[in-house]
Amino acid sequence: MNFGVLPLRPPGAVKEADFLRRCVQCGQCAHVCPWQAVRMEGGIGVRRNTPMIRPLETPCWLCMKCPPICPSGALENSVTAMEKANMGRAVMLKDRCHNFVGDIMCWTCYDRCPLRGTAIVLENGVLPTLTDQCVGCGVCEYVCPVKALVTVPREALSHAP
Amino acid sequence: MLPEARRVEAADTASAGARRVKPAPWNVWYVRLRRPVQFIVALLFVVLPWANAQGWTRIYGSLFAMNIYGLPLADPLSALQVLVIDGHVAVRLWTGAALVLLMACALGRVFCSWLCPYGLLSELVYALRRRLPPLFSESMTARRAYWLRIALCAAGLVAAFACAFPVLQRFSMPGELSLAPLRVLDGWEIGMALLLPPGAALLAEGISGRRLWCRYLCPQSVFLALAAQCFPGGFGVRWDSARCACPHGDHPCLRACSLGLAPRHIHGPPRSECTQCAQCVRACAERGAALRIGL
Repeated sequence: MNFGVLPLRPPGAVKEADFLRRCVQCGQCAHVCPWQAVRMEGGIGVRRNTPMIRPLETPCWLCMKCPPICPSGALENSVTAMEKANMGRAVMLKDRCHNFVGDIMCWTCYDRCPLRGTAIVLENGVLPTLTDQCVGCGVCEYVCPVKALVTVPREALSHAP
Repeated sequence: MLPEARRVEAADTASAGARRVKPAPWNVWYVRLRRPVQFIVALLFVVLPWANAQGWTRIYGSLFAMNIYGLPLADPLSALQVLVIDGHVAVRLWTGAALVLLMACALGRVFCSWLCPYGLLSELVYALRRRLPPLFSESMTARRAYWLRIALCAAGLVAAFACAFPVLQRFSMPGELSLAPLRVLDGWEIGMALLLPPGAALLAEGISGRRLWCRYLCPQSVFLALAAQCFPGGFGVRWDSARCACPHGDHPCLRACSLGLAPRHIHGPPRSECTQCAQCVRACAERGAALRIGL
């Protein structure tokens, strides 16, 4: 599974194939993003000038400003609730996470998760654990001090075993 | 007095009288304001990503589709491509496209000469290059150039359908240029964003001394041209043959047109091709003001 092939789309994005059909590359989602998290993809391929998020540089903080303003239907205008962002999911690499390795107690991901308590819960009150409520905003990947979290775009997730 | 001499004298008075005719003041302002507006629009797109990042989002987007104080504006070709590829009617895109087409219908292709950043660069390149003779004379008639653009645009729509993504966005000079400042935040992308199609097209125009892209290729201009043609009585260049005082073979209006159009028709140059830049009106103002821009 290669996560790098599929980009992480902004909240409310339709299926990747439909997204490429509909996105007119106007950049409005990138302009309204208060964090400049939505970037325009480069290169000269099919995805040139389409919006994406690179969580390690700037994650999506789920302000939900971009879905309502998309003029072409590439982002669903009705998606305004953080819980419905449906961008992907974060995956915990337990061999890296301080808590699972057992040396340091670190709740950075839990503290910073925009959906704290639903997307990340503390198992047994100690171990940060991702639930299926995670929408894949990438904040945990951005804040994790040991890069123990990886954000997987929604479509890449469906190909996962 | 001999009849011959009388005729010469009459012609002299006529031409002197014609020379005294001043163009309408608002025509003068139309010509004067155009260039500053072009620069202001280009500057707007340069500062837009920065202004948006500061939290000012009254205007956002690019020349593919944008939003100005809640008013949607869109490139008609963007809306059409989404419809052709996906069968999806993007309501806001079509609303914006309709506004743009209405403007083109009433005012002609003013977008090309007042707002398009590529138009500005192309005109500047042309102005610098025109001291040297062009590489070739404009052999294709305006009508043929128009049909060539339509054919290329249609081919682009077929390609977009076949490739399942809006292929023609790659060939949108105003779109690419208005997005370029947003790409500056991406570092290395800036070179790619700025150098690709617009750079290549400008280089070709600089070498040839002709506005190749705008005249023969620009797919975005096709729907503006179609809309402009719908209303021949709309805003545009008009020619008053009675005032036309230039001797045969010497037509500064012809030389002034960067697109190689002939404005000396009662209804002005072909409405599908003329971008209302009024360079011909400016050139004519010093002669007899036989050309004017208006209704």
